[in-house]
Amino acid sequence: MSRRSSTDLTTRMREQAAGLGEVHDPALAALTRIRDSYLAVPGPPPSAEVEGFLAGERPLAVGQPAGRPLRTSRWRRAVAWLVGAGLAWQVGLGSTAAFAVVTSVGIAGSLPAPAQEVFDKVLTTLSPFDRAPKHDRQTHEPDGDDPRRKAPQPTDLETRGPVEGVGYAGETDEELRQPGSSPDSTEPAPGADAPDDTDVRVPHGGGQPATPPSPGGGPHPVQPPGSGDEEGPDEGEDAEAPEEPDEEDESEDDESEDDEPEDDGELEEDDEPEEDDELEEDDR
Amino acid sequence: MDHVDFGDVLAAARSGAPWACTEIWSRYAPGVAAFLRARGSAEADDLTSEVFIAVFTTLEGFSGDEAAFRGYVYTLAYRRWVDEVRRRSRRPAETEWSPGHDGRQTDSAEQDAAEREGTAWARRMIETLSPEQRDVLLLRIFADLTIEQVAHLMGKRVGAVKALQRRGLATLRRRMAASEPLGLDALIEETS
Repeated sequence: MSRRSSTDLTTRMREQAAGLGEVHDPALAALTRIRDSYLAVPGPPPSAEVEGFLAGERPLAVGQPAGRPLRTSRWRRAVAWLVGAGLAWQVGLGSTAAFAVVTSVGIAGSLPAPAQEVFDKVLTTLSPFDRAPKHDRQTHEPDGDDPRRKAPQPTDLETRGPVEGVGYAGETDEELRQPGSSPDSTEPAPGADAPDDTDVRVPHGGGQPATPPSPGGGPHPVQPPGSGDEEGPDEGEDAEAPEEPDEEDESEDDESEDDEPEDDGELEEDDEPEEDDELEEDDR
Repeated sequence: MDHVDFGDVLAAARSGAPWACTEIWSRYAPGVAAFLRARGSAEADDLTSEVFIAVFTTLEGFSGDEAAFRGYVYTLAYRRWVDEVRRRSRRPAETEWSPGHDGRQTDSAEQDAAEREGTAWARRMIETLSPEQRDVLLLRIFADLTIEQVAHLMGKRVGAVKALQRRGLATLRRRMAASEPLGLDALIEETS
């Protein structure tokens, strides 16, 4: 194709349509005809939703996600309802919320020690659950002050954990040691037959049977590594494939054009210097 | 619109001014619908409305001049068109038969001559291009987008878009030269 005075495709089309082009290009003429024929059709009627925008009846959702106004509206309605509710409603709702919070924290065993003891007693009294007091569960926590003690290793916990939690009844290992053997001990030995270290594991109360671990109370066996919450959300389902906004056959890049049988001959044409000059002019 | 600064129209449309939204619609909707029809959309009017709903609702996030806005509008249109193609590939649409859309029929000499002389012939010529060549050429002639804008819109490199345009034009020229319209006089001579 010969050179043109203009540099842009659409400009050349306009010039040719106006008879200004130097050479009649059938391709540009066809494109011009196609464009004019489609644009000659009256514009589409706006849909009802677009009509709303054009009439100014719908406020523009400027810079907000689509769902946000709805959530804000629900939250505001809830607050308005709470403010407008009667005193009895507010007191009842607050009491219920406070009870729920205290119960939840108590069941989790995270209340302060005195409160937790009271909670455990109340729970044991009022419910069929036999919840061991918290200090029982804390009996075998490692004592950081005593250098002779070390933190329980997983192997220790696996072998002794469930057994050690019962029968000590408020005494720690330090208390069960022979009084006076510890440099920190200030109390005299209560008797000559105080148990030595080998007797530490003898339960208090002389062979009283160990209380079976209650549901929700007592020491829990150590879970093996990896046995925790493994049922996370299935990311495979939720993960969306990346949006591919373009043609489905992305693999057909410019290189794929060479695969067209009809273009095989064009490759030689395209490599002509004249075509390259045209390209540079087109896209300058 | 020509005498109204685009920045003023955009600012007014952002604030929800009906006249500005109407200006944007009347200026760009015919071109968008024409592009979608030329690309073969069966729901060009509905898609055009969808495009402008998206334009009006995301107007606040747009920044740029009129050329960038035109590219933005046609990017939305192109993506809606791709969505429609995907929908159609999953669930082929059933359309009633009409002679104009039946590509199996063999045109008579008179029909062929009339078609070659008309726009339908040009449309058929461009339909022989590969889809990507057609996308590039139609986006350039309908939306008046630059090569860079088309490349960004289609997710391709600038060089790839240049090659598509060059080969599309070359193919059109070659095929048109091979099937030059006969003209009525030549047709009469041939058939007599």
